[in-house]
Amino acid sequence: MPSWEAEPGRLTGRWTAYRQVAPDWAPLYHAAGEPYPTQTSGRWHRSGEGYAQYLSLDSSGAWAELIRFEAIRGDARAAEYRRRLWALSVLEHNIADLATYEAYQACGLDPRTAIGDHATSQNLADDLRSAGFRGVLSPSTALPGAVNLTLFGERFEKVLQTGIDRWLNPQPDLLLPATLVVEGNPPADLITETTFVGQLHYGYEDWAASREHGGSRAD
Amino acid sequence: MGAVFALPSREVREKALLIEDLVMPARASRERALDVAGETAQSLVARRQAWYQDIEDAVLDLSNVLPQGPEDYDARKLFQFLIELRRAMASDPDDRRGEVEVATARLRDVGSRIARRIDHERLDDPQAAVAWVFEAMTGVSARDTGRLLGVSEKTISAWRGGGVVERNIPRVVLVAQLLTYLRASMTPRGLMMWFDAPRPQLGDRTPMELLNEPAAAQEPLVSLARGIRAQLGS
Repeated sequence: MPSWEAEPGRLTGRWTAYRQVAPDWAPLYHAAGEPYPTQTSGRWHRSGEGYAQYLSLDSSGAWAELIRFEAIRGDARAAEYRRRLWALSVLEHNIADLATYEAYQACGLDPRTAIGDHATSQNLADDLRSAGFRGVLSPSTALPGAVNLTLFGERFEKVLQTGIDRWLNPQPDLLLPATLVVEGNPPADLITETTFVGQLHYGYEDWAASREHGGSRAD
Repeated sequence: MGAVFALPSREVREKALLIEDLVMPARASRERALDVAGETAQSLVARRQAWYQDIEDAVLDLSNVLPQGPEDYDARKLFQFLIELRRAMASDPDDRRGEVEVATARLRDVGSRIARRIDHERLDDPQAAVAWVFEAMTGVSARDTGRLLGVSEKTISAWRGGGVVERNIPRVVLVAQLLTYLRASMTPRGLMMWFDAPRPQLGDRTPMELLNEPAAAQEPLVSLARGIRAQLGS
């Protein structure tokens, strides 16, 4: 039995998404021929149980993931990082539309799943994969207002200098065109916008309060 | 693990990196390009064949120096992906289906993994480990390097001069291993800050605090350091 009351919407489309990685690491996570998958656990997968490609629909969302994971609390530390920010063109189908807290609620899912502990999201990911979903759109925990796109399974990059949206992708299920946006460090301005572990997520809190007050806070 | 270290690890590593180099995206695209100006059909075929032959030779070379030869797990994977590449090149010369692209990426993954494996095994040797730490922490003071390795500035100076590492070996080896994951993502100063920053994944303790118990610190610190390589959903 899936954890939802109503199945999430299935989206087909093209998204431009962003992802930051170490300069000596490939834009996407692939480790062909590993005896067992060794990707570190994340919100939508458990280590040892396959791979997931964690992307953000805007570059700030990608940087905020680094700031939160690394607990970068000050400008001085942010300045010492060196990362590559990649843009990727994703042509996909069967993407679960959980991009908003309303979408969670409409499916009978607790909207706090989007920003809560990973175990609940990982269980939901199991249900999504079993139902044939290839990925999920969900609010970012790291940056209120941002949306993350996570693709289930292995993908390979086709690195292009330009034109990622125009490249005729022969295998969109497996290949994603990628282009380097910048090699640098996370913007210091983003530190104050990032939700760190243990902090209230004001994106969710505002949404929950607006529900409590019949939408008046948003007016 | 130990068996590989007994081998000429530099040779193994170089052979693994040669495979990686041959199938790097820019080179792979250039070598199998179909539309080079002025090139005859004959030279085009010869160039593509020569590139494939170089990869095959590199795979054979590497498998010969791995501890279990062609029976090594990764060697078998290399052969598997090599066959995929050959078949893809034969059935779809201009790679309209993208299968050559994927086969080269898979070969690259295995080559990189073997090179990383050799690096990690090499760093089990405390002399190699301390040399790697000094290289990664270039510009960091002896005081801070000593703090990181849990020894005095005097010991750091002795080690820099080639002294035998006899103290804090598990800690030296662990720090060296952690730096293999972290080094590309930050400056030496940033590396020092990483060790001094409280982390929620460690119950708000710093990596430096955990280093006092290297055996217990191994799993949480390696997991934390590996996590930085690529974006994860938080």
